[in-house]
Amino acid sequence: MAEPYVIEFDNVGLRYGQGTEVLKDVSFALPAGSFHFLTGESGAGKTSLLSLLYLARSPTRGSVKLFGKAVQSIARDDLPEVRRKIGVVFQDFRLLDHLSAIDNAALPLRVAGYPEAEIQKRVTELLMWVGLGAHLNARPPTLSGGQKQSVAIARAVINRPQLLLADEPTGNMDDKSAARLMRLFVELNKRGTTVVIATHNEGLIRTFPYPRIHLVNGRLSIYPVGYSPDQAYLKTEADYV
Amino acid sequence: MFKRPSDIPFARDTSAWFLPWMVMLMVFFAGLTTAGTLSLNSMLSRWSRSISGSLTVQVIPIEEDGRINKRKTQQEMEDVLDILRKTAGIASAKALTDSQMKNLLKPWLGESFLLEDLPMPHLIDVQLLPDAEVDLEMLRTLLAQKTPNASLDVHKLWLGKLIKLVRTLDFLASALLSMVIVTTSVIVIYVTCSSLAVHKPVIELLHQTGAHDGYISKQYAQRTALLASVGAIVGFLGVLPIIYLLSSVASEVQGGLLSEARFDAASWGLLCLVPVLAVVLSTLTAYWTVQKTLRRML
Ligand SMILES: Nc1ncnc2c1ncn2[C@@H]1O[C@H](COP(=O)(O)OP(=O)(O)OP(=O)(O)O)[C@@H](O)[C@H]1O
Ligand SMILES: [Mg+2]
Repeated sequence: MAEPYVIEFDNVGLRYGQGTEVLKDVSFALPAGSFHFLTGESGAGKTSLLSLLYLARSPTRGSVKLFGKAVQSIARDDLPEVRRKIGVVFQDFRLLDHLSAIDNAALPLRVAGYPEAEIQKRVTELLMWVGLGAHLNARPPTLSGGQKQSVAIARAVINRPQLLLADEPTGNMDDKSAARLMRLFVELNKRGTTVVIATHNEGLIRTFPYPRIHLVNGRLSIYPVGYSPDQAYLKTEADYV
Repeated sequence: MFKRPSDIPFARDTSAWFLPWMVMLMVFFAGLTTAGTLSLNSMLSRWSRSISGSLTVQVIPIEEDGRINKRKTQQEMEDVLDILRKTAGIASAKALTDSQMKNLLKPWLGESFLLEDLPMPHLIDVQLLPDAEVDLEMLRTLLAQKTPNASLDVHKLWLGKLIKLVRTLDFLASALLSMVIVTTSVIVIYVTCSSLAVHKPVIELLHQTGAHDGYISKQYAQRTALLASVGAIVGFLGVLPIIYLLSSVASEVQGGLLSEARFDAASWGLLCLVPVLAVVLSTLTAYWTVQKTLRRML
């Protein structure tokens, strides 16, 4: 009995403090089981948009619905249950430096109270899969940027979330590793997870045929597969890839 | 395998190291206060138990021409005993024998003295019936009228003053204990709040991954319990030699008031509660502080 839309934005505006709006009149809806890229120049508002989705912020105006429920109406005590359905890969990873790779990736299972044996098994399997088999007990400060990102991704997907939000999840990786992790997201998506990936990587967008949500100065448009916002943007991105 | 580190990097908050020291001091003071109060009260209750059931009547020897008139004195003793035995509520009245008197005086006068040479008052030990209501004022007037050389020594009168003193000390002790409790709670709240501020990003992340407030509060409670236990144990161990010292001094004062200040099993039990309560108080305060603070976060 999945909700028809996992995400619904209606005329959403967001401003930080007294500044100008970083998101303006944003309206869109993403059906359950969909897969979207989220693109836009630096400062366009991608992270801000995602932060509304992972409930770190509330919109200044308009309404945000998650899993069919207006987020403003979710009681504080119910927030943990909603958040457990959402996996997040943060642009800045947000790993806990004093915990090993295993314990970092295990966090969502621990807070949900899974038995320790199951946690160990699931987390070890997943970390092996993302290529961190040799670094299970390493602490984040001793890992490379790409390895940290892999731990962050493992933490986001370990609890098989219904909604996966990834902010530049492959920014620190070579193309091969990036493609490998993308296939992990695709696999999750096939099993019903709704996926939104913010990225600057046009190569990925070309390789994986999914529609894109594009932000320009806080305003949003959706482009079907194969269409891109503008040539100038593509050109600079092509240099980057 | 060693124990998994907690999700919150507690090792990094420096203000937390201050907690065991404070708990140690608090347990030390609270322990001393409790021990002092308990021994004072046990002393008092021993006295009142041994005293409230008895009275002493003293009869001053009747002197005539600078010499003690033994016959008249003896007659007065008989009269007093007569009056006492007729008074309701009195179980027995016995004059102390010469050897009993000698024993009482021995600590002051040594072995070799003749009782007859001393103008010592004669003592009558009066035992009351348990729970008897003896009208001491009436007895006192009666004795004054009929036997002018006899006087009633009512322990109860000065015991009453002593009870008042001990009650005042009890009150001061409970005021001190309340202050210790408040201080400990304030310290725990301070340490917990500053730790929450330091670890805000970690706590936000835990919330983000779906942690309930209780998950975080529990970790703080466990951490605080550990720190407070260390302090409480050390503070409690510090109280022990002082109790030992005081009680050995007290038992050396033979026959004195202090020797009654014994420390029994019940008192030990109560004293052991002090560190336990300190840990429980700190832990609950930390838990409650985290719950309160997290309520204000998204
Ligand atoms: N916490 C904040 N306080 C104030 N302003 C902020 C905050 N976070 C972001 N902004 C502003 O909001 C705008 C959008 O930022 P955002 O991080 O959403 O961009 P982005 O699209 O994720 O950029 P990038 O591709 O570089 O990650 C920027 O102008 C930024 O300066
Ligand atoms: Mg961003």
